[in-house]
Amino acid sequence: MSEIAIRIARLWKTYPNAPAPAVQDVSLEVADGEIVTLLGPSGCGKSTTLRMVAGLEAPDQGTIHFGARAVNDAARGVNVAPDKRELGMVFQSYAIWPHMTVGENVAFPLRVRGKSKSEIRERVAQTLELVGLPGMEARPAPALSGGQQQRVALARALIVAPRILLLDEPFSNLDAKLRAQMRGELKVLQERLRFAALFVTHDQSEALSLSNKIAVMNHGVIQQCGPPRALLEAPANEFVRDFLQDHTNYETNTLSA
Amino acid sequence: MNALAPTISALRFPSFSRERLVVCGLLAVVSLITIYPIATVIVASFNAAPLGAPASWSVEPWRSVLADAATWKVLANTFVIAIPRTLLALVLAAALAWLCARTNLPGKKVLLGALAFMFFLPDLPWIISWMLMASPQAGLLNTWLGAQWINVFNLPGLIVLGAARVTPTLLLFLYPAFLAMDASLEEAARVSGASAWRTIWTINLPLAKPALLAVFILAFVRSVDSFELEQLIGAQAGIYVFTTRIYDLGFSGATVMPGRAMATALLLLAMTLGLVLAQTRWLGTTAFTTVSGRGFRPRTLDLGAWRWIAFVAAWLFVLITGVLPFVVLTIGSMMEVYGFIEFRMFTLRHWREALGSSSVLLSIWNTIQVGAASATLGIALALAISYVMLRSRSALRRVLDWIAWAPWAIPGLVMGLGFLWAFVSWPIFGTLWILALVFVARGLPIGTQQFSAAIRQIGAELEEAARVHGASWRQTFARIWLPLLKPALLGAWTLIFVMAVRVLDSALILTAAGTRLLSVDIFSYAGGGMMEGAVVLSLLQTAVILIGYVAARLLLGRSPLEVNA
Repeated sequence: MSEIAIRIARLWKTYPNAPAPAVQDVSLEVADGEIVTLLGPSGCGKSTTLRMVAGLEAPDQGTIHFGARAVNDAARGVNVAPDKRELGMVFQSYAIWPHMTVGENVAFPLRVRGKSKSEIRERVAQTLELVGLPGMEARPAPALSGGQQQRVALARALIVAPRILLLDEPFSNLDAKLRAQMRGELKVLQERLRFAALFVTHDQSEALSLSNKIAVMNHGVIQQCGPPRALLEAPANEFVRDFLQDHTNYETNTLSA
Repeated sequence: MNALAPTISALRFPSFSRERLVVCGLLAVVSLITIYPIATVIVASFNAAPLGAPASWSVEPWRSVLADAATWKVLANTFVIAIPRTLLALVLAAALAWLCARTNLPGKKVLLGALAFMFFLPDLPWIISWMLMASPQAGLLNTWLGAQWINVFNLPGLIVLGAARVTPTLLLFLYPAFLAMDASLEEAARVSGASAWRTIWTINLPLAKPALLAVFILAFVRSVDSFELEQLIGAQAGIYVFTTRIYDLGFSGATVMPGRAMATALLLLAMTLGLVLAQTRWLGTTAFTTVSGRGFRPRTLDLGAWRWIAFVAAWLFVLITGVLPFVVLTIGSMMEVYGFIEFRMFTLRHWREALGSSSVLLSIWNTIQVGAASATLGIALALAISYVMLRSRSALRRVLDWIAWAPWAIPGLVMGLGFLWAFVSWPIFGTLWILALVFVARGLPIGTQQFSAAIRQIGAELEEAARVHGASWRQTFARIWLPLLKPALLGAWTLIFVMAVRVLDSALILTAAGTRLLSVDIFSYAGGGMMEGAVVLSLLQTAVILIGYVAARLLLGRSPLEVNA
């Protein structure tokens, strides 16, 4: 059994002026080399949970540990800034900085860490090769296709070889064919680099084909958490069954993947 | 949840106490240059003593202002001028904006560029030129046309000149609104059997109504607080409005009565403030909202043969109100005597004298310093305010927003009076700093408007991506924010610089012996009948503005004011 990379315990978050908590008593563990997916309809609290792990939102209650290090502990006033968490993250909009080239985008995490020019050049080249964009350093970022922007975002997230990778609906802006391809590539990368991935999606097939473990969320509460097969065979409630069923009726073939 | 993400981000300030410190600090600075001066005007309006005498507190200034028939006369004049002026300008601007946005007018991009450029041209030189061209009898236009009737020193003159001058500004507001209108709404009307005219009346006009109303109020307020035209042309014709009356009471009349000037100024302020508040109440936002039509090109109306008629009419407007005044001014500056254009009168004497005069050179240098300082401080302050507005959750940020936007509704003359009274005993008084500060205050609405639009477009994820990948708040600001905001920063810098260089009203009140500005010099030369000097200085002022404009254009690669959204 590998070690736990992310441990979320009893996390709560309520937005001001919101009628109900966005996240209620969420607990979850992600081990090294594992992909855990937060799955649910929009507004179910999955993105809020991910953003708390990233340090972009502060939880009201609960703790988040990266390995042995507490990055959030509401009771003790611990809230580590996002830039001190040593993460990689892929955003839904990719968030490729339009005023930089591909190379500058990917190099950014190393540059703010004050690495030497030669080291940066070498690692940018390696990482771009890793995501299938070799030699594209000088391209202006806005000139890229959606799939290429996705790869740049992935390269930027992976360049510091983070222990933890966060992905917020990363494939939702791609067409179906490209989405399947990127899923496969993410899986391959993950097996090679052994990062712990926390993945947010509303797409059942994506969750089922990619994850070691799925946490189905609704109304801010984790309804059930377990391996895809366990969820399909023994859904804990109506909601989980319906949410997964939607998919299994049409795409049973991906289950064997 | 994701839909909210771009505006509500948790990337707040490093800590709560620092956030509170920043918000309170900004509030203090902004209040000092907006609320405090206006508060001193209110206090001073209850001081009945003439200038220099010890204070005597009473309601006498208010009573005499309200009982004075002259007050009601200037109120009537103000409206008699503002209403037709605003309507005329609105019709002109709407027609031009519609031609540029929604028709197949030939060369409409060039026309739009010319009109947008006219926005930057300074008022004083323009007015001086019309005084030269359209005075009764000896005016150049009368001489050329063999006429006697062209005369701007009357009510129609004030109305038409004011309308022509404000038209390019209104166009810049209307054009994006017209561009963003969904063509399928028109097409649906046409398909349902409505004629082109009926479509305009029943679909286009109602759709454009919020934009037209907002622009109407903007133009009305600008007309009511306009000073240059009313002082140089109106006062000569014996037509006084609020602004010129305030100046007369406070500075140039036989007995200077500051209390009455202040009370009159507050009446004017109540008027402009009421109008602007009514506008925000009915229409939601201030007028400087540009709707971006990203990747969306509306279909255009085929004008047929009419497009050539429209083409000629539109360019006649540009030639008569944009090109002609400055050409005449340039030629006129090289004539021995002001008001004649004859080859035998050619001389460069006026230029030699002006450029050889150390006081003129000092005014040029002062003008550039004040322009650059107010633009730089203005964008820094406006950027800080915009950032707080978007990222802070402090309740005080609403107050900050309101205060920073207030100068939009404060007439320049009233702002000048406020600064005079508020800072008269401060060491900055009588220095260039007081002039720079008044333009910082007046530039705040321009800056915050530009930045909040730009910041919203950038979106929170670009900032979050930097933070998550290891950049501190400061690094994120320097490497992500500043480069992405560069166009908005340069645009706002240029707008504030141009304003500070060309605006007379606030400067006239705050200027001192060693801190003369070109605008003040032009005014006093023209007022003293030294028109040759006024003409040369006018062209120098135009040159300073053009240099600022061209520099920004070169740095940006486009016009500092983007209208092709």
